[in-house]
Amino acid sequence: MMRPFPIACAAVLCLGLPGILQAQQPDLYLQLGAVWAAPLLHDDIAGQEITTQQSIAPLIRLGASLPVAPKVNVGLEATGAWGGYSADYAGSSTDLGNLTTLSFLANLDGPIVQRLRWRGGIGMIWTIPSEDAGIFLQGSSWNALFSAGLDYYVPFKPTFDFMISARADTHTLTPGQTTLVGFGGTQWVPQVSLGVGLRFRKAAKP
Amino acid sequence: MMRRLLPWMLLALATSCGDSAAPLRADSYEWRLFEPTAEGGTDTLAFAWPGSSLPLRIWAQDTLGLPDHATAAIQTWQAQFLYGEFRGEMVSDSLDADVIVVAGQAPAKIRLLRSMARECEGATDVPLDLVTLILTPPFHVFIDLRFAEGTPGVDTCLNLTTAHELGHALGIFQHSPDPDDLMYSDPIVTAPSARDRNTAERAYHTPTTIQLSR
Repeated sequence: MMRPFPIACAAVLCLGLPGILQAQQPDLYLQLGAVWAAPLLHDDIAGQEITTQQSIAPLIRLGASLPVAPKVNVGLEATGAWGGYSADYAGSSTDLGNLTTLSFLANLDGPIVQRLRWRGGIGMIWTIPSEDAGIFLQGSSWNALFSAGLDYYVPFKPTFDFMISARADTHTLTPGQTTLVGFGGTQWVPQVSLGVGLRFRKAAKP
Repeated sequence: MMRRLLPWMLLALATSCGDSAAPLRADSYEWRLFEPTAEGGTDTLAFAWPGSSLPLRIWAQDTLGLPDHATAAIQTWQAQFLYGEFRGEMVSDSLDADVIVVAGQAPAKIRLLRSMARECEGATDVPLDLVTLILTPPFHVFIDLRFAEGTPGVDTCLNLTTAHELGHALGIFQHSPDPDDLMYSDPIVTAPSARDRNTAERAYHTPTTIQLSR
């Protein structure tokens, strides 16, 4: 079920991007890659441990950034990833279907050395199951997302750079059904992603 | 300044790993059968459909709305599990079924679990050989009216009784002692309680002693 706050965040990001594009002609980037996530949930039923795990998922990432200070850029980024998930227990794995994640980040980035730049951001991640069942019986889940990473650029043409990114993210995960059946606290799901792509820029940059 | 912040941000990410606390599920009831042995002891009989045998195939006689009640019962029980432990589907040929649901009175048999709701009653025949401990499907579920079809409450009763009997076919071989549970012997509630859910989950994550033979 969609909630007002995530909708507002998504709207700000979606509406903000065209504004940035028009106002400042920012750098744009497009990446393809893959993301690995730590287990979504650990459980223990009658002494049997159960781990719900996402598969490594391909991702596509779109972003834009523009300078706001001599060494700091601000940007917006959207990432989509698609993969399976399963429950592992008693030495076997049960396929639970597919998960789509859409994440929206507000980023800051800046130089470290030469072509290497740091990046950090906060935002929201929307986890959408292929079927409303199991831990996602009550549907998709919006959660907070925190991201940090490194970008490396290799100049290719005056307005194009190759771009390689490594990210370490973490997000909360609180599907409604887990709360209903008595899970307590917040599940944090770290994830690591690698992406390669192109940056389109207006001016020469490192 | 950002360069100084970056290590702290990475450290915060690295240390933000944490798990939510799993529920204890202590509030459940006994679902296993206990059979006396020749040696004077007790044998514990536990059954759950193995993942390789799913989806469970269910056929229902086309009367009293039983196909609809059976479909609802499948959805009801599927919703109790978090990790795909149980899945069911309706089949059109009773020859292919693991569970056969028919209208009428149950024959008198030894391994029969009976329920008596207000407006209808049900029974499930567990096809278990107590000597070999091999279960050979299909289960037979019998649903019978105690009042004429169309009487207020009958449709609800058929629905909850079908779900109750499917609970037996899932491996809950005993009745709950609590009237707030769907698996109470004379069920009143229309949906599984948290205790029913806990019991079903425990049944599917506890070693079984009964072998399945198809």
